Amino acid sequence: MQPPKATVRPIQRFASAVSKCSVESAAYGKCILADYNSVHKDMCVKEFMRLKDCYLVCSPPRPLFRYLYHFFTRGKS
Amino acid sequence: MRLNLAPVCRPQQWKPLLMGGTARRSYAFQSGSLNFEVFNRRAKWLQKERAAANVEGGRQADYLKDEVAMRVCERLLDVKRQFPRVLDLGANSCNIARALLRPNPDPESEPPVTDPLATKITELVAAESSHSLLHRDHDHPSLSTTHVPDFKLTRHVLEHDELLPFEPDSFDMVLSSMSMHWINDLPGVLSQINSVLKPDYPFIGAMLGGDTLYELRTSLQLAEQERKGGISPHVSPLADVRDVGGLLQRTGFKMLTVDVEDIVVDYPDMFALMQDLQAMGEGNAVLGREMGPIGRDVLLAGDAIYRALHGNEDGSIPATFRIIHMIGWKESPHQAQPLRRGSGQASLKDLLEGQ
Repeated sequence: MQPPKATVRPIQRFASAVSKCSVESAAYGKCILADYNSVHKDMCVKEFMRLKDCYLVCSPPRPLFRYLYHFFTRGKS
Repeated sequence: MRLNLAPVCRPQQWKPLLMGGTARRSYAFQSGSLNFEVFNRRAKWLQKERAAANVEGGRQADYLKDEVAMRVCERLLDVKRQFPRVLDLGANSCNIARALLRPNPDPESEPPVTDPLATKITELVAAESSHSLLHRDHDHPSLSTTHVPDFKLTRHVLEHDELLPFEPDSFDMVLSSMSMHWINDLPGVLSQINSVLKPDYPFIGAMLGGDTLYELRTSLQLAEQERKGGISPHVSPLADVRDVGGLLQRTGFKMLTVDVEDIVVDYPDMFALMQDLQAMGEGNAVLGREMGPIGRDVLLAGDAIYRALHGNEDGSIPATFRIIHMIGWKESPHQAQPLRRGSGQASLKDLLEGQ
């Protein structure tokens, strides 16, 4: 019997892209940890955007419209 | 309690007290039966069916359930009895049967090779609401009963996982491993267990409780708070040890034993933990949770916070599973009874000082 083709789930692709951004991830974690008793919205938005930019660069190429979506929403969400 | 008495039986002199003859409720009390609804039963059933469809992944992710089932069954080594008919409530993929069939369960015993625990049991009824999960390992070698010819495994699919369709006083033991933390009405199920047991026979169970997955809970809370400005439940509310002791007592069990055990598993990242939880069928099924998957931003933030807040030195992350073990015996007049208060003859002080 032929073994089934190994499929890579989206979450695995996501995890491998995130694992390449350990420096940014640590910086964001440190920012949250500095005041984790009173976290509020966008408290560490600067660090998070650096982390997300790194993730977007490290993630495998995605279809064009997704890329454009992420390009335009990068500064907002 | 009823305050709305019919007018004929209401004494005449109470009338002024009752504010012009109308009965009023003077304090708040619970009317009718309590309504326990915390988990979405259908969502849980779907998650189990989905987990069962992924056979290989499910078998790999069974490490926790197999380990807990083994620890539950080890408690049987202390009971020198035969159990003709045993119920496994919430059997998942028959993890308890697998643990019972394991050869040589007690390597530290006097004869170094002991019989499998299944030799103490004639029939094991594995009851579970998800048909596919229950039958997942139907032909798997770990469930083969050839080495224990007298043991019979019967699978029973439950229509409703909180209603036991069994006769009262029909089982010699009830086992349950890693499934009771999804039950909405825990007192109701415990009293049903008490009723299906024969007098002076035990219920031995284990479930997740207390601080289980507190790392995941806190990281996702902080991540959602920072990214979205609000939180939604991602980890179930769980029973505490104190609650379990009280519940067992309230539902009529005697000679209780409740103890806690922490199992800490290390994962490479938060996503691996969440994937394994999904493969176990232990996904989030809290009523009122946010529907749909967790957003990418929250996942990204959650993983970073998990590492910063709880991460190990070597870059892995720990996940705590707190297992609450419980043993309760159904009441019987022939059971060992505690002595009357004040009837002790020896002083504990003398005993301890004498040593």
